[in-house]
Amino acid sequence: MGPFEQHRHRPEDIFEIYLLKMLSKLIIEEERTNKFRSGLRIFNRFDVSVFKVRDTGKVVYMMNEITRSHFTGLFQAWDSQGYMDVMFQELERILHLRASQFKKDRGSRIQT
Amino acid sequence: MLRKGSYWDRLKQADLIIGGINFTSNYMWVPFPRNGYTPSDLINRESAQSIYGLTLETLKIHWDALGILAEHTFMWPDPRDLMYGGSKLHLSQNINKCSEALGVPFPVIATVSDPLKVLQDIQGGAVDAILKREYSNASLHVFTKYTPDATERLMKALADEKQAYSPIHEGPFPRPMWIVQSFSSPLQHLGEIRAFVVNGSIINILTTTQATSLRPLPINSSVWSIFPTFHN
Repeated sequence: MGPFEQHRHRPEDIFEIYLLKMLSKLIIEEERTNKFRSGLRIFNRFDVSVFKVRDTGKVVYMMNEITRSHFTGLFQAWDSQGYMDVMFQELERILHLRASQFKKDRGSRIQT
Repeated sequence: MLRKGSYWDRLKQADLIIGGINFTSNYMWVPFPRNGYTPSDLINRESAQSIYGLTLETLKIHWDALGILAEHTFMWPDPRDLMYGGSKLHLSQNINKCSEALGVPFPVIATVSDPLKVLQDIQGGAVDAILKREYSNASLHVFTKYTPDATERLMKALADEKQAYSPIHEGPFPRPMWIVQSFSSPLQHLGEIRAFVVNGSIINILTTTQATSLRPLPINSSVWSIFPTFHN
């Protein structure tokens, strides 16, 4: 056993790596296709199905749905840890940041 | 959205506008109203009895006004982003492309020209798949082998769709596509994980795995133990 095998990712790490890889690829692909800034940069909910391959026992993820609107179900009734409070704080912060960037960019466009 | 008067002018001067019609959903019709109004119950082309009193004609005006407003102020969500996100076909194509690039599996999808025929094949066991429609939420347009009253529900949905979309085949409101998505029998479904992402950071992860009596569950070490052999 080599020294690096001690540092294999935990299942939750692997899942998060999968999500973030998918997120970055999806943003690039959406913006290439749509020619406008993807809303995935600000907020979304990934719904990922988890499957087990019957023959091998290997567990795989499959991206099932991406919800990006203000109508997204947040499951707050089960949020006893207050994670969603953090989400709202971060959402508020990024929305104000993007709004100020927009205003600044628009001012530059008008001047030119 | 009336483009006149002080209200319109104040909107254009706003730094940030949040909210608006959920264009990812079934914004044109309410095929299966439950408990009175649903979030989708925004548009009623027969009368102005919906929440915002919009008809198809005023919806077009509203869409044009949103475009003008988007040039003046930052809007979240961007209506164009919502309209794109509601197209399950385009979204699935992008997801599949990215999944393939990452070497992870993805379901096979195909558009359907005759949903009723495909539903018969699904319910008869000839096809192992799910039938679903773009611009829908809460499984209102999802049909499987086990969907009760599936044929009647689908016929009602198709009739509503024909009535709602027939006058406007062109323009900003595309007619929803029906899609068939394959099941893969060698795969055993363990459940579904929902992850909330803000500004590129994963804020919260829940599982709606049906194997437990409590759903959804916050992800923690005990929940991960359900999936002990993750690979990527």
